[in-house]
Amino acid sequence: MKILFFGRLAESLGREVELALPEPGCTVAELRLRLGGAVASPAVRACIDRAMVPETTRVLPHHEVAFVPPLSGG
Amino acid sequence: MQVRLVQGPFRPDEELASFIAGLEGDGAVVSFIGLARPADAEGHEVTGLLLDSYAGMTEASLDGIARDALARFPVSAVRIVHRCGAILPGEAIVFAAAAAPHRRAAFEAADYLMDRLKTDAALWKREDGAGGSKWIEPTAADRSDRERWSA
Repeated sequence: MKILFFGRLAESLGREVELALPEPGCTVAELRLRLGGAVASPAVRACIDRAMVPETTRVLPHHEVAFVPPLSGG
Repeated sequence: MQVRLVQGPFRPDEELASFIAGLEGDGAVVSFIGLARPADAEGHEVTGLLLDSYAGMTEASLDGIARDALARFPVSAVRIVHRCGAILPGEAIVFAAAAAPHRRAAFEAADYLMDRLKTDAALWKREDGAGGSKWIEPTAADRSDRERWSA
């Protein structure tokens, strides 16, 4: 599956990476551990289908997953 | 509710004029325009900003903020126009406006819109200057401004 990155994460990791998801899926926390590095920072939030989700949410193959640094609009 | 995410420059004066033209019987309009500063917090020259966005999520976050303002204050209309992409110093980044029968609600709703945009809009801002590039995150002041509305 594709994992998307935004802001400073996109600059260091690229806009997206391809990752093989284990058959039964995994939690956001497990996915974060596999990606490691800057994604491990607690300031980085996970999104599924364009909404922020908690760490216990299950990631499934049809989901659009993104990791985003703190938001800064305005 | 009038919300737009735009790639290129926009004219805040035209936004205000068309916002006012669409009102029916309101007595108060408050608008805010955020401009890209030519210097960073330390006074170093900024040559441009980059606002990274997430198609779908960014628009939804702006919609949510506008909807929350309409639900929270006795205002009849709000408008948010936000830039994304590359922005030059002096250009408008954001236009936020609220209209109401009376001024207090319009002032408060416009204030609320901006506090929410600073911390809850799905945008990521980078300042580019002669000394390099720096990703901007909400400051402690931005977060405490946002907290004012949590009660």
